[in-house]
Amino acid sequence: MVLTQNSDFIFGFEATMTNPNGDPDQENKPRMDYETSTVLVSDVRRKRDIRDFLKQKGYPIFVDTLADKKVPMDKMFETIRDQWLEDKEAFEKLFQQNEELLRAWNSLAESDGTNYKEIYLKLINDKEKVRKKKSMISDFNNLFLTDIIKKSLIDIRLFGSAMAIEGITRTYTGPVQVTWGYSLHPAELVKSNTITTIMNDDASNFGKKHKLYYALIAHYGTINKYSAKLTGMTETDRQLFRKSLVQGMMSNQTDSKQGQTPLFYLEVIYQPEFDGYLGDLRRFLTVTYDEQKSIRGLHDLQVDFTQLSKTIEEMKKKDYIDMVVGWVHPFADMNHIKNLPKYEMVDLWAPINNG
Amino acid sequence: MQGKMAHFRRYYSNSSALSYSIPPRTTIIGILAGLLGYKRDSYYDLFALDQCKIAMANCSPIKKQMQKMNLLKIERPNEFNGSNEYHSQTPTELILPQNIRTGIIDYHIWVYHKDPKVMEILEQLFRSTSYGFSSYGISLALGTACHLGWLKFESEWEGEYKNIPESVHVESVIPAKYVERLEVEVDKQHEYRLVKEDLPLEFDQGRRLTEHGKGNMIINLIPYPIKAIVTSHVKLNNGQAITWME
Repeated sequence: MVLTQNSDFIFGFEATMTNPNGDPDQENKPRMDYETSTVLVSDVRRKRDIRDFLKQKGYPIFVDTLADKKVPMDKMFETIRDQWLEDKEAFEKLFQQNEELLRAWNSLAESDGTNYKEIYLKLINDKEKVRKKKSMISDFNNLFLTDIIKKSLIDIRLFGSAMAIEGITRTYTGPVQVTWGYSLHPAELVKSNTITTIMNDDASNFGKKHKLYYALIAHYGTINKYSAKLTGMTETDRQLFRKSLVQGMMSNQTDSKQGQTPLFYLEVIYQPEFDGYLGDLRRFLTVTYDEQKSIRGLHDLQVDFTQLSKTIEEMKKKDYIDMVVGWVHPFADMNHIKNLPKYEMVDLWAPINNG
Repeated sequence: MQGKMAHFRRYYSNSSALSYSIPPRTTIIGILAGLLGYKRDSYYDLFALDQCKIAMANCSPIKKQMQKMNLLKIERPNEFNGSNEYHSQTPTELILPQNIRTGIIDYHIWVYHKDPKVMEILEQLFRSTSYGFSSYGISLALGTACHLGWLKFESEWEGEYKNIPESVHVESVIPAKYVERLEVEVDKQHEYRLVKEDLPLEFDQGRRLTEHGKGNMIINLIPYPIKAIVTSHVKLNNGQAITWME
């Protein structure tokens, strides 16, 4: 079922002796606001982790940048198209859900047969017929592709994308939007930079590798029910998103990303009738630390959620909130994360189904 | 309109993504239309310069910072999925509060629409919750979709047009064409870091700037009114003076 409720979420993770997001223009040093020693992490870093993770789990991904699979968009759409045309049951289900599509097909198809792929390919490979039925073919392709692409590609349902169908470019804004993350405290770069060596038979590379001692970084995000309608994001997708946010980070174990640990995830789910958002939840956190001391772990911080909890309670009284779901790392030191709002636990470590 | 980070792309920058210091009028009408649930590119007439007046002020000190983004290189529609072998490394200018951890970006926006119905729906929307904000469409963002923000409704005021040159403290950014003379006062109450930016104001249906679709604005980057002799302004019934971005 397509989402019917807006939500706001906050995701916190720890970065220990790691580089959560390098700036290619600064020797790949962690992105930082040096004036305030605040670590920054882009939204695309989060989305890449999620896409890579879902891909590993067998989900087809639209924005795929891995070198092993550079398939141009039209070839990708063709493969998806053929999969749907070959699957009689799935294809007929589309007709039930989309009358317009059924009409477009009926005006196009020249036989009543159910070997849809054969009928379709015969038609579009016949130059004479293509010339005659040009606009009908284009109408059908438009409806069909728009529908099945969203059904087949989870990253479009979550994050949206620009794409072109029948020469027309359309842009889907993703229901899930994630802000840049920032560290909730000043952070320090490790002072000596490890020298990386890559040695081949006849050449070697030497370079600097920059890391942070420690940072607790938080991203804020929203899930928008109106955009969900346009991309077809479902309740199941929301659950997949949460788990891939946490597990995608855990499974990214490249050299620079080792040492990143998801710490907490909280999502405020609003009532279906409520059209609002609280906005950036990070502004309701109070983080304190000893200014004289270097911050080397969660034990050097106090993260207090009191203000967020109060705001949520107030909104619950007005019946704006349906529920709050949350997850905290099972081994987190709760002496340093205080006064979390009441939430319904979701297990974000639980395995996801393969795509 | 508040948030933690913003990017308002200067439309003419391509190899690097520079940002205006404040949201241009076209961005603000996009946000208003988006909150009201209008579709992309469907609202330019409804929010044209002669229909809708917008003033704005920067109310919290901001700074800009460059971050190089490793973006997909898209030279043709077939590459929307990242199938181009190369990436495009684009220096991107971000707007940040002085301290992102403790501070926020804070733009004050005044809106007037000729059509009372639009005003009514906007007010309904703004007043519907005192926690955060409501939207019949988009999630509110300061420029790019990922720079999520939130709204706080201030109040409703009546205003009176003053179309004779007058020396006033203008709360909002001022169109350069209305400035007869800047009367900069240097004291503790008034600090200035003035910049002039040529901001887009209005599009036609094809997203091209219209004849009056661009204008030089004088912006104070630190949150103090600008004292100036202006040829046109609006005096609000709370005593403040603003100038529409036009």
